Amino acid sequence: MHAQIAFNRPISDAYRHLGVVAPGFPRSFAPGQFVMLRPPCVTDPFLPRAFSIYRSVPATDSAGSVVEILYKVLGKGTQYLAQMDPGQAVEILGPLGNTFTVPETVETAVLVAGGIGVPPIAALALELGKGQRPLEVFLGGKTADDILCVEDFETIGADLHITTEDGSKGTRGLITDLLEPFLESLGDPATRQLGNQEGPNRPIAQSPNRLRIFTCGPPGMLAAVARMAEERGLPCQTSVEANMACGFGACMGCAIEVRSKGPGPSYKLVCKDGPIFDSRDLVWR
Amino acid sequence: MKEPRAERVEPRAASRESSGEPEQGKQANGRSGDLDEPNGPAAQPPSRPAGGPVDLSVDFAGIRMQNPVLTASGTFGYAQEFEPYLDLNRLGALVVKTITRLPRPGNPAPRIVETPAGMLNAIGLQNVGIEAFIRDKLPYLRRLTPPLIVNVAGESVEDFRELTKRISDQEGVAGIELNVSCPNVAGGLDFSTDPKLTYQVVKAARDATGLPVIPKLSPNVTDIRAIARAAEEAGADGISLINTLVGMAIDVRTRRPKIANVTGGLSGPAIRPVAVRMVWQVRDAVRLPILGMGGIVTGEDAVEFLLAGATAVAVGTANFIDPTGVLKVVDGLRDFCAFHGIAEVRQLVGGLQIPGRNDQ
Repeated sequence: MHAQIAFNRPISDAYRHLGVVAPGFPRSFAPGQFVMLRPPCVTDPFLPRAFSIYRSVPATDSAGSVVEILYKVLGKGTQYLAQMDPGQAVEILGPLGNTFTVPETVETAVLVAGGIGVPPIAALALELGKGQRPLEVFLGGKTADDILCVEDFETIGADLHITTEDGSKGTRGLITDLLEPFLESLGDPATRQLGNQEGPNRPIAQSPNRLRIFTCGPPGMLAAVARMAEERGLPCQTSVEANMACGFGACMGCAIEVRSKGPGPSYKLVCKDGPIFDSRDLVWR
Repeated sequence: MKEPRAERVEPRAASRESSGEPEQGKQANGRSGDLDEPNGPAAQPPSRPAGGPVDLSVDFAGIRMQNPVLTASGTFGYAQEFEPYLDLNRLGALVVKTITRLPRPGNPAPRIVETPAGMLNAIGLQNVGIEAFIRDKLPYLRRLTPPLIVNVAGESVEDFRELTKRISDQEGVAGIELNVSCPNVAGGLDFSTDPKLTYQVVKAARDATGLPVIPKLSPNVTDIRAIARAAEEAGADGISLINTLVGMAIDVRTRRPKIANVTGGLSGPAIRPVAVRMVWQVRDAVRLPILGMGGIVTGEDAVEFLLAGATAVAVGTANFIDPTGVLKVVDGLRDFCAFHGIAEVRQLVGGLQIPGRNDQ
């Protein structure tokens, strides 16, 4: 689908905020979904790149939407994208993939994101923020620049927990250093009482049914969060990334290993079966 | 390969008869047309006003197609994945992802990586297996109007025989492409690096079906012509050229291969010159029609293959970067013909001109 860059501005040295006007792009998307983006007629970089959708707002002067993504300039594809100007054409495909799902029974959402894993989590928070559900948001990064979307989380009144490895923002350390004691404070799942209990800030749901973890970030962080969730019997939805050529299930390149019921290995496709998975279904290494 | 040559005549004749279209396969390679005589006029398209209607239809290996643009196996899933994006009935023919006897889970991740003007893949023939294909995928494919070519891969000659037989027993299958060249599967599935094995596989399939049999050959060989001749002698009706080139990419920071299988198949525009060269070489070595593929993205890319000697072309990796990519090739090809006053796309086949050679 043809689209046009509306804006492409730096957030910091490494991060940028891109908006593309996409006529015909659905007006709504569900948090966790992604788009494939590619500059037209370019053979190097050749493949489109997958980006989680951060926001999508109706375009003022057309029937389509302005699809917004946040990206970190890392490799050939994002370096190319970073040099593109408003008005230039891009090809966009989406929204693709499945979404985070928040059952009605969930009272407290625990959102954990690292670095460029923040945008889909911010999209989810903006969606959940409408429902006045307590949100515990954990953001981690190497340095202050890696802490994105703080204003979004503040606007909806989420409890923010921030760590950076260099201590330039929030607590020095890894985000799991804060997440683990937080989950610990909820008590032992075996003896946990149903219902709410007064916490330091606001009521926190105690039952596994009423609390859910949603996470996106670097693989090491995702594995650690998945382990913590599993140890405590807490359901955890994780958004994962993979090298992807098409984004819609044709290339079968974005395989991820899932826990197998049979003797051999078993794979699912990140683009079609994901990018959101129940963390217990994945094989963590 | 002299000895087996005699054996090939009968099944081929039988196949033609059973398809009710005797000798079509031969016509399809274009050799019967005046453009293809060694000293013929192949060079210049007939002069006529530009912009007129263009007949894109071709006959490839005895299969009639409304245009010469197919989908390359392994890049188009089982077609249904593309339904939201394009009108599948506009394709020349459909070639679907390789089917094996048993389901295959595929290779560990990462399976793909981008490379300059292309990509490496080692998917590992992930597929649902032939029984699930017949049960779950074929009914959908049968409802589409373009001819369906089913691609199969076996681990043995016997596998190819069985798969071919089982597929040709199904309604709605127009031809069988033999994947004798997957570079990404352990256990020697790359039959087409050896003329003898190529012959055996093609012969087994030939004997098992009356449908057109089209082996897809590996470019990872010293002399593609020898392999193509073996396929011809074994009774193939056409040849698909080329499968992916074996390649490798290393992450210099981690010092690890960029895909888990270590090596993978290179595809995309990066390989197009190799593919065009092989089509050109094979065109001179055998009388079979060629399905050319390798990095086709535009209509003009397709023309390059036709000029080199392909009767039809397949679009592969371009389907990933743009799900409507295959139709852009159809439209681009029509535009090219219309602009250059070419009334029938068949007139392009083998139309390469080499200064100082064609006029000898």
